[in-house]
Amino acid sequence: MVDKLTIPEYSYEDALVIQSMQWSMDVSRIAIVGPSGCGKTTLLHLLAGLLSDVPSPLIPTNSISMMFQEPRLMPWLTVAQNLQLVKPNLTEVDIMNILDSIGLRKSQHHYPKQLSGGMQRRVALARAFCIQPDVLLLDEPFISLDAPTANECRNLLQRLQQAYGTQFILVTHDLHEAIDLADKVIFLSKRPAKEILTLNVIDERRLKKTTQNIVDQLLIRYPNLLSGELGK
Amino acid sequence: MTQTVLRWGSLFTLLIIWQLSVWWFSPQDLPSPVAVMQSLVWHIDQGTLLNDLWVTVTRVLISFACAMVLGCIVGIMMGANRTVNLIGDGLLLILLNIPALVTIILAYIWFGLVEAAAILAVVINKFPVVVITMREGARNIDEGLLDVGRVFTIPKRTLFLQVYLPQLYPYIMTSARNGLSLIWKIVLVVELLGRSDGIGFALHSFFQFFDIASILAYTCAFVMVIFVLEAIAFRPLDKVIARGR
Repeated sequence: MVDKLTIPEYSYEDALVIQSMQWSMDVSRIAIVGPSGCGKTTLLHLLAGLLSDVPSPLIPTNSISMMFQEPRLMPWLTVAQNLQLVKPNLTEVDIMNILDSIGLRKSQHHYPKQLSGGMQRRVALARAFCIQPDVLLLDEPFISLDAPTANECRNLLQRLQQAYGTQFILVTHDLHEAIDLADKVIFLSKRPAKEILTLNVIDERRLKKTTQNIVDQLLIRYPNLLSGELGK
Repeated sequence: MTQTVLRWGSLFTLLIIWQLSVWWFSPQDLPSPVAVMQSLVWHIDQGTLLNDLWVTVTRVLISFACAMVLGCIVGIMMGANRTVNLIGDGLLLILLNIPALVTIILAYIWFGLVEAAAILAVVINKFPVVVITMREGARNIDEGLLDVGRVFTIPKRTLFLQVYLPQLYPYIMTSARNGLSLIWKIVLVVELLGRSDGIGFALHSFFQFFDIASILAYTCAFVMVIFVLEAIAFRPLDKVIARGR
């Protein structure tokens, strides 16, 4: 588990995109919430080492995993082959166990195109977890799904997170999703992104509040929070 | 079943129309399909058709392989790297537009009437066309899928073979199909101008005797080879590539 993260300033073509930040990551489920276009995806790519000008990951561990906005499975590989692509030493039995756990036992020889959007997301989740990463980065992974399917996928994420004990950083603009899934929510400002508020969800939960309570109270106090501003 | 009927039906109809028009109009310069068939049998049996065919097919396959490999490498490099593209773009335009006949004649003048000159001339004609297609393919590579490879630290070799290259397969197939048809046409010209064997050379002799039946017989023989290639190589490969798409 990574317990501290220093994020340096990042500019792209002379415009500041991300301001420097210090996060304490003392919990295993972290959500980052910010308005659209504030640089959330850039931030995740920075953490994962996917930006061509900052090629090494900021997260100090060897095993990072990531789930993107789209499933990004290889269309020419079957479900089983897609898993083996990221972890070549998976045996037939391992694959069956993994697929069992996401309810896709019968789909191991199917190609991604033959699966529904929700099923593809589940395979992508399984792929993200099967390498047993220290840190999993999630970039609005359930954004284009209908509500029931998205909920199913969120439950699956929770289940797999508990089973593997993986620390995750979830980027989203959906406040409900963030509070539902995370122990700690970091709110970002508009571009250039900067931390404006940290919400400790564990503390709130001790007061027996529901997700809806927490969301309501937060928005009464900071009506413009989701546009990246604390003031009224 | 319907597919087979349609595929072969059109060819069969062509033969019938050919035969009927020969019966009705009895043209001087067009032998009937039967006459062509007889000529074909004669050339296989008594003549040098099989040897000519073998020589030409070998030339076609060698130059095809060279043009494809070179074209893929250069095309991918140009599509992936802007500097390489800028350097190569002008040269590519020149290569694309030099008439086939010019490259063939120059190759023979500079390197002599040898096999290597013949192959080289064909490769120079085909190679830029492959480059164009492959460059287009390399420009359309999905960076998102490569990012998956980077995050999961997939080894470079696996990344290339399982993530990068499969995205280019449709482009490779297109240039292979176009390539084969273009190459065998050029190979015949090369043979006609400077080799003493192969189908092109044989056609040259038939031309001098106005032996139309033989010309058509040789053409038929080569078309059959192409059909076989299509059936045993291209169509099965198409199926492999179509998986999951």
